[in-house]
Amino acid sequence: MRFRTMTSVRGRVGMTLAAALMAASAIGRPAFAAEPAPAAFRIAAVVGLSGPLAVIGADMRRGVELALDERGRSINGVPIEITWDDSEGKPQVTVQKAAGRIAGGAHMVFGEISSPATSALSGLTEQRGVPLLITFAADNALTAPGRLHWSFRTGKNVDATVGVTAGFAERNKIRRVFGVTPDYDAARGSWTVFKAMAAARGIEIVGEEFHPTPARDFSITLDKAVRSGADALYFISQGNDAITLLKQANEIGLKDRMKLLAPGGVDESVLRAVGAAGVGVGSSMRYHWSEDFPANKDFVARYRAKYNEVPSANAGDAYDGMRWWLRVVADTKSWDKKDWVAAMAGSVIEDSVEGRKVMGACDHQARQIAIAGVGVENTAPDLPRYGMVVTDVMQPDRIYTPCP
Amino acid sequence: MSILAIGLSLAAMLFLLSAGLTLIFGMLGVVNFAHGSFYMLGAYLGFQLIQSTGSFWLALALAPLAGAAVGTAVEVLLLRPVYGREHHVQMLLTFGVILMLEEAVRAVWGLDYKEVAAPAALAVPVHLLGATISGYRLFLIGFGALAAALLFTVLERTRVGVIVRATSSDPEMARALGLDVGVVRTGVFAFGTGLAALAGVVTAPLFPVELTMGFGVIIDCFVVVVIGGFGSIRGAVVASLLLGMVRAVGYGVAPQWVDLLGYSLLILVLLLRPRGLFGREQRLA
Repeated sequence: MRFRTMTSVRGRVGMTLAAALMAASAIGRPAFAAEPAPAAFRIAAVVGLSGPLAVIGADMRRGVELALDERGRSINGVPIEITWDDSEGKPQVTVQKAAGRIAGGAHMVFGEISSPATSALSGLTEQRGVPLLITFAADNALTAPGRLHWSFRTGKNVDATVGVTAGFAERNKIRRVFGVTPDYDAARGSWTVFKAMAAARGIEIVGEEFHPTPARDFSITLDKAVRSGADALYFISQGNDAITLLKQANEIGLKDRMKLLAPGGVDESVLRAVGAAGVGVGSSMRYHWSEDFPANKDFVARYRAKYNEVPSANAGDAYDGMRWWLRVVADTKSWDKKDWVAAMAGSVIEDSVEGRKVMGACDHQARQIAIAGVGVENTAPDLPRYGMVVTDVMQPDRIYTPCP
Repeated sequence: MSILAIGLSLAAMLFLLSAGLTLIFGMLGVVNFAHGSFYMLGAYLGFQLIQSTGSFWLALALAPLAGAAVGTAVEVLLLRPVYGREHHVQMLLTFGVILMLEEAVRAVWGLDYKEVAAPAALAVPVHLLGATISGYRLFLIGFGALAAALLFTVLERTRVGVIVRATSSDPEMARALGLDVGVVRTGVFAFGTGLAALAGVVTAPLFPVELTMGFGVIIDCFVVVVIGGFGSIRGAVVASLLLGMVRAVGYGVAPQWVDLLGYSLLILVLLLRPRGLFGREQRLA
């Protein structure tokens, strides 16, 4: 008993000393869990920086860089290092470059742009246990419930972009639609989603065309659309294909005969290419600089100060995703990737550039508003001549299935 | 009938795109991989000239001259030293020219898309043969036909054409007869690259003007040139018509298979006539 008491006293003294030593050693640096702080927090960004995706990749880079600037390019006292690799938009190149960066100690991966490349990339990051942040690729299958553990999509999925476009069609009293779709799996899937949503709204599909991508010519397809008696042409074609379609539709005055609708196919960069041909064209948008949220006003002001123009949808989306992710990582005060992933799943950002966003814990898809608008000619001298204005907003509860 | 009208417009575009490539190979024996880059350069120069002058027609006249000037520099500085070398050396060199031109255009004009619209007078729909086709496409059909006729006439019916053909078929003999072979070669290469730039401007109102626009085009050009026979302007005309019509029918019947149909035509021609429809027995230069 005495011995036990002595031991107990010694033990208490020892424990007190140990606690004091630990407390002393902790002064001046964050008391992080198990993993030691790295010399740098390494982000491997792999996006298309050449070829047709270069415009998108360059805009995403601008948005991400601004998110890093906002944090002073450090996280919990550790400097952030980011590398930018050109994926060329190809799955194999994306995986190869990301694998190299992961082997070099990347703490997270950002990218890619196309759904096939992003799918391949998520396969790699899931296997290696490295977080992946997706802001652009929209294929629903990417965030099927239970598919991803290490990956998160902060951008909009197909359900969001198509859902708000279907709502736009209904509001504009469109009854008969002719669909034009690139002939690949994700695009066909998006068209199937729209057809189901259109049917639910009493909109008839009067014709559909599937084109190879890149598309060389749309003149026959557009002629078919005219003959179909449709009151709207719905095109899923993106980038160069969307530009070709809009230019060639304008040649034959298609806008005078029917409404043109795109689930995300038209934004400021496309309008820059087609000019007046894009005025009046309806499209869902990933983000728009005019969205009325305090965080967005702040972001747009800083973006304009740095780049002397308003941010594109791709820049805004990338900024918002990276900002959210870095905030979650910082709040964990941990250098253990598992802690970041656990914290991101189900996390909420109240002050995103598009208001409140909630990360689905079951599918790692962000719940957020969806927006649509039309192309307009701007008169303000500090804006690009052609741009989009937001006309429709759809709330998240009308788009996403809640996680159980 | 709509397929016929649209097929003709596609054929005209294909001919305009491939004429310069055919000419350069036919007369110089050089496979110019950079043809698509000169096409892209022409579109950007056209954009810049339209921005500066406000006139599409002035851009259509001047951009090919600027493209030809760049072509002259490439021929004199880079190609001339390797005429006597194997084909792969020339191909590698023209591949390097692609990278140079792309970087130069990126540095000057950036990554953004550029807008080039058709002249207002031609940007009107026309109902022809049961199809709705634009006035600009009709202009293209006429422009393509005129370009083909002019090229054919110059090469086959004029003294300039005789000199070019003589220089290409036997440069030593041409030199012995007092012709300046170097100048003729430079002129042909400049003319070919000018044609590529012309195609860039004239098709810019229909397609995106961006850095990679030449890559897809070069494949189409090679398909036309291989089907028609390397170096044959007549072959390029016929191949453009064939491919344009096949594509128009393909878009009408099964658009998702249109590329397969085009390449099937290529394979069929190669199986039946390995040198192309109007290909000659041996290489000229």
